[in-house]
Amino acid sequence: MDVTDELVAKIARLSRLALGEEESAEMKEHFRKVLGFVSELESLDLEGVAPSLFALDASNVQREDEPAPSLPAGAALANAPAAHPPFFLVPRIVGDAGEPEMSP
Amino acid sequence: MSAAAAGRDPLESTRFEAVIGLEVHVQLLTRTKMFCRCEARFGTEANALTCPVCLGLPGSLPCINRRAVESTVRVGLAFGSEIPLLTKFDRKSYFYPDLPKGYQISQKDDPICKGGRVEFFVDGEIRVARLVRIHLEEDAGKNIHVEGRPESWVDLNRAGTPLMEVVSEPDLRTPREAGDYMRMLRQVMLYLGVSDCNMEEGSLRCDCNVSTRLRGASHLETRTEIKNLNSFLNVEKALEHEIARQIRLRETGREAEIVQETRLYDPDRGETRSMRGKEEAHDYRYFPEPDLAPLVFSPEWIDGLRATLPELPLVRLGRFQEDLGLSAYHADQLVRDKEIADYFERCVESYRQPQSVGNWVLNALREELRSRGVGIEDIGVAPERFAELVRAVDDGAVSTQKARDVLRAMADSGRPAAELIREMGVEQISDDSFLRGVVQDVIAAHPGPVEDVRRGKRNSINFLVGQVMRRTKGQANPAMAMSLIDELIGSPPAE
Repeated sequence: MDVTDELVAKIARLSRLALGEEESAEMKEHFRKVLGFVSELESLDLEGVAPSLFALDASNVQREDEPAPSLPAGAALANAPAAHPPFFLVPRIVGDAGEPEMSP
Repeated sequence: MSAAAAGRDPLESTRFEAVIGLEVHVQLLTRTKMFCRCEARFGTEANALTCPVCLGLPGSLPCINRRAVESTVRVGLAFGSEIPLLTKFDRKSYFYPDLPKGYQISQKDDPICKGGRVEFFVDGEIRVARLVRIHLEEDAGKNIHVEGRPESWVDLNRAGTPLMEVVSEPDLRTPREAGDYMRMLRQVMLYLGVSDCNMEEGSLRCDCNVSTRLRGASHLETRTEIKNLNSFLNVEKALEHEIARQIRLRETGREAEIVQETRLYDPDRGETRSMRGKEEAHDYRYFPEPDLAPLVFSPEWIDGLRATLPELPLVRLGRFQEDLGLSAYHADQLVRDKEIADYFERCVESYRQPQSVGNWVLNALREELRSRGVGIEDIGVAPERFAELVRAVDDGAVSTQKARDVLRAMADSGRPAAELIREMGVEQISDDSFLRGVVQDVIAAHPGPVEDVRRGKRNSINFLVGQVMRRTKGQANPAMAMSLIDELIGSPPAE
C-alpha cells in the first residue's frame, strides 16, 4: 500500500489530529514502516489456514446480567476537562436552528 | 382519511413507486448495559449510571452481557433468521461527544442473525419483508443543547445500553407498509419480552432508506436516508413527504437533485431537510474488536433458546380465528397485547364462549383498564371471575349495562360477580311469570300506545318496554319484556 500525503492527512482528520508539516512527514515514515513490517506476513503460505478473529485462544467470554454499583456521584466527572454537574460540557455541536441531535 | 391511512399506495395514480427499507433500533430490556455492569435504566440523574467501561476510560475492558446475546438470538429465531455458529464484534470509529471511546462496539461482517422474514398485515392482507440481518451493538449517550449557550451538555447514562438493529431488505413499497412492518416488529418484541418498546423513551427508533423509480422497474435508484424517527406516525409521515419530494423532482426533470444523503424529518413543517454540510463522508474503519473474544454457539444451545419462544402473534391470530371462531378483527385486536390475549385465553378456559368473552375483554374490560390507568395484571379481577361475569350476562342474570357497574365493583373489592350482583340489587328479572304480570299491568295502563303497536307502529313498543323497566327499577330483562309485550298484544313479532 502506497502511503501518500493525502492518506496521512485523511487519517489525521479522521482522528481529529492537527498535524504540522514535520509531524505529517514523520507519521508517513511510521506508517510506511508499520505497513512494511505487516506486509512481510504476505510471504507466508496460508493455504488452508482460517483467518483468526482474535489474538487469544478464547471464546464465549460472557457475564451474567447482574448489576454492580456505578461510580459514586461526582467521580464520573472528576477527570472531565469541563463539567456542569451532573453533565459533561463539550463545545456546542449543532447550529442555532434547534436541529435534533444526530449520531451517524 | 389520507391514502396512506387507508393502506393504499399514495403513488397509485402516478407512474412511480417507492422502495423502502428500514433499520430499526430496539433497546433491549436487560438489567445491565451491554459491556459493563452499570444498570441500564431510564430517568436517573445524568451520568449517575456510568463506570470506567462505559465512560471509555483507559485501561477498562468490556465484557459481553449474556442476556443481550440470548435476546438477539431469540428475535432471530422468531423471524426465521439463520443463526451462524460464530459471531464477533467490531469497532466502528467516529467522533461524537456522546460516544466516549471514539468508537462504537457493533457488528459488521458476522452479525448474530442473518436473513429472516417478517410477516405482517396491512388492512387484513398479509405482507412479507425479508431481513438482511439483526446485529447487536451499544447505544450512545445523549447530547443536550441548551438554547443560547455556547456549549452542549452530555449525559452518558444511555451510553453502552444494549441496542439491537433489525435491518430489512428494501421490500416495503408504501409508508403504511413501513408503519405496519414496524408495528409487527414491536408486537413480536413485546411477545418475546426482549424490549419494553417504549417509544416515548426512545426504546424503538427507526432510520428509513427510501428511493423512487418507475413502477415495475427492477433496478434501485439513488436512495436517501431519514434518520431517528421515533413513532409509527412519524415514520409514515416522513416517508410520505420524502416520497412526494422525490416524485416532484422526477416529474420536473430534476432527478439529478436526488442525491444519496441523510435527511431529517421536521414534523412541524411537514418536510424532510438535507443534513448536507453537517456531515463528512463517513469512514468508520471497522475492524474486529480486539477486547472481545468471538462467540461460538452450539446448535444445542440455539435449540434451547428456540424452545423458549412463545406462540407468536400471527400464529395466535390464526388459532383464535380457526379454533375459537373469532372474526379476523376481534382476533387481531386481542393478540395485539400479549397480556390481554393471555387473559382472554384464561377466561375462555373457564367459560368457553370466545365471542362474548372476547367482546367483554375488548370493550368493558379495556375501558375499565383505561379509566383506572392500570395494566391487566393490576386490575384485581382474576380471569375466572371475569368469565363468571360474562356468563351471568349471557344467562340474563344481569343486564349488559349493569354488568359494567358490577365489573367496577369487582375491581374495587376483588369479590365475585354473583355476590355483587345480588348485593347491588342489579339482578336482571328474567322470571317469566313475574314479568308477564308487569307487562299485563303496563298494557292495561297505556291503551293508546298498545293500539299503535297493533297497527304496526314499532316505535311505540319501546315506550312500553320503557314502562316495564320503570316498574321493575331497570331490572327487567328488556329482550324478554319486548317479546312478552308482543305476545300479549298479539302484534307480529319484531324483526
